[in-house]
Amino acid sequence: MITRKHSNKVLFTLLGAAISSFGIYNVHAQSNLAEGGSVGLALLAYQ
Amino acid sequence: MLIFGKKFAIQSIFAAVSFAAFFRLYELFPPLLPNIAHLPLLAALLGGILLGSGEGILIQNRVASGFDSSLALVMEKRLSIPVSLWYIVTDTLILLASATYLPLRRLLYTLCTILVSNGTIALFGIRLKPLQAHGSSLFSLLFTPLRGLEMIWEQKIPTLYWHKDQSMASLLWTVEPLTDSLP
Repeated sequence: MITRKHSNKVLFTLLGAAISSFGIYNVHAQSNLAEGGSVGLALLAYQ
Repeated sequence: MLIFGKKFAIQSIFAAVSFAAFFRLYELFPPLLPNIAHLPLLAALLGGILLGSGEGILIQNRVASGFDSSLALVMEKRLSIPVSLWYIVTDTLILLASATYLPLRRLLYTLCTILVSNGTIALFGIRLKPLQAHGSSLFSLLFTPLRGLEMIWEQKIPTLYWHKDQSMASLLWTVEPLTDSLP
């Protein structure tokens, strides 16, 4: 049974993923900035 | 994968897949923002705020935002390696690897963007534990590095955590935020 709590969680997860990937593609990758963690690894592979 | 339960695994995989899907979607189009590579400090600030807001929303919803957080949690549970120490090790390795394609100056801006993104995450009101725990000040940590390292190891100073009501100065010393809201 999908409750309102579940759908909120899905929506916020999507929102979080959308905002952070927007930042990484439009700012970090374009301006040659690295990052720590898994984002750093992804940027390393992206170069 | 199921060390922390099926629910956590499914949520984190969903977060990772949606992150990748959004990145692929953005890649189909030219960058939406003007190129600010010639203004690296502005880029570091903007990138940090965007990344921090996204990750802040994810962590607030108790979803591990990436592979490294999940791995750090597993290492702590299985090998008793403190999450903070694991983060310092992996982040240093990744930044050193990034040094192969980035000049030193860009790495300094990278440090700046990491501080900004961590600060933004903390602004989301996530409960993080203070750096100056157990009566130790930041200065004693700086001047006695070995003692500091020992305390980090013993997790008397959980470097990853920051308290909502703590000052901004100590926030800057947060290496990587990871909340106890995660399992």
